[in-house]
Amino acid sequence: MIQYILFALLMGLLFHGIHRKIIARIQGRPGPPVWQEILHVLKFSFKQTWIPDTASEVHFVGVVLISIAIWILALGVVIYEGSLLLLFAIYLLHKIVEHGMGLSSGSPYAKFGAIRSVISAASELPLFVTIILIYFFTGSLMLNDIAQWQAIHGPLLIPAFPAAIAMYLIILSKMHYGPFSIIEGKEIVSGNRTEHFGIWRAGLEAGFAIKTYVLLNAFILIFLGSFSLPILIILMVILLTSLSFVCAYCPLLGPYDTVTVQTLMTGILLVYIIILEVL
Amino acid sequence: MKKRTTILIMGICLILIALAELLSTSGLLPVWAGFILIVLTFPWFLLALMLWWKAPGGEKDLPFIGY
Repeated sequence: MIQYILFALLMGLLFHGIHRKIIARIQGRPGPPVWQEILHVLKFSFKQTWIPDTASEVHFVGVVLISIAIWILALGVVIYEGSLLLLFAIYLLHKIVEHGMGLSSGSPYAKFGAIRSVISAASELPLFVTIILIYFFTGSLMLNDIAQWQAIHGPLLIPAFPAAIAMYLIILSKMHYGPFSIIEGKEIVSGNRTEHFGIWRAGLEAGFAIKTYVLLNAFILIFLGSFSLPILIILMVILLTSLSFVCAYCPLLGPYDTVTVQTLMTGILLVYIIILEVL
Repeated sequence: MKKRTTILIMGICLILIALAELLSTSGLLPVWAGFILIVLTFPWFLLALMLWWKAPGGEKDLPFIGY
């Protein structure tokens, strides 16, 4: 089990590096090497670290522990093909980390990030409709049942294409430098991560790396099916590349624009579900 | 946190992680129980490890709290 966690951690950090590299190349910059994020985490972990005087100490450190723990749990759900509901419940728990990070330090920049995190709760709306649509086709929310359904009927991507787009938006809203990354906009310094530095930042980056691995893996598992590890990694890199292209070409949206886009997507999905139900 | 405390936390977590691995692979502990044990201990292990090898020193500071 521990080998899966370490693998997901390293791959997630590597994915973050690839993400940065692709964005840089599209924008005409050489960009950092793909292993830069691994070096970043190591660098942060060696730095002098303390807790700011204005912070709530338990809260400040607790979010780092929770961030790592919940995404390891999510990794377990994906590896052992457990319940999709559990996976999405963990996704919602991640909101606690986002709020907690921003509210625990006492810095107004971090608090702005936390407030934006509340606004970006609209990104959970497409999530609920995605779950309904997946259940509509497969009749189950267990990942192994969904994989078996796809082994018989083919990839879920084709009949449930709008749900795939919705989940794509969900993953996009959690990617660094994305159009929906309003909680870490540069106009509020580093948003809710502003005061988490040194080993706290290293811990958070470790949790976020596992998160990226889990979300990419879940997308492939839900909409394309089960694959051997090498093919899975190739598919994840392809998915990540497409996300990086979107992040490179789309500017950071305004907080209310992100809500509009995500609510519109939810509306379109609801209409699609109603049409399917009627037909 | 003192280095001695971080080593203690690291040691306890490492023992629990090793136990979870061994017991769940040998079938003495359900796989989900072993996994939950790792979920609970791995973050503590990681933070304790980093607290142990981080550069010493540093004092609390007051971040910018607005005008």
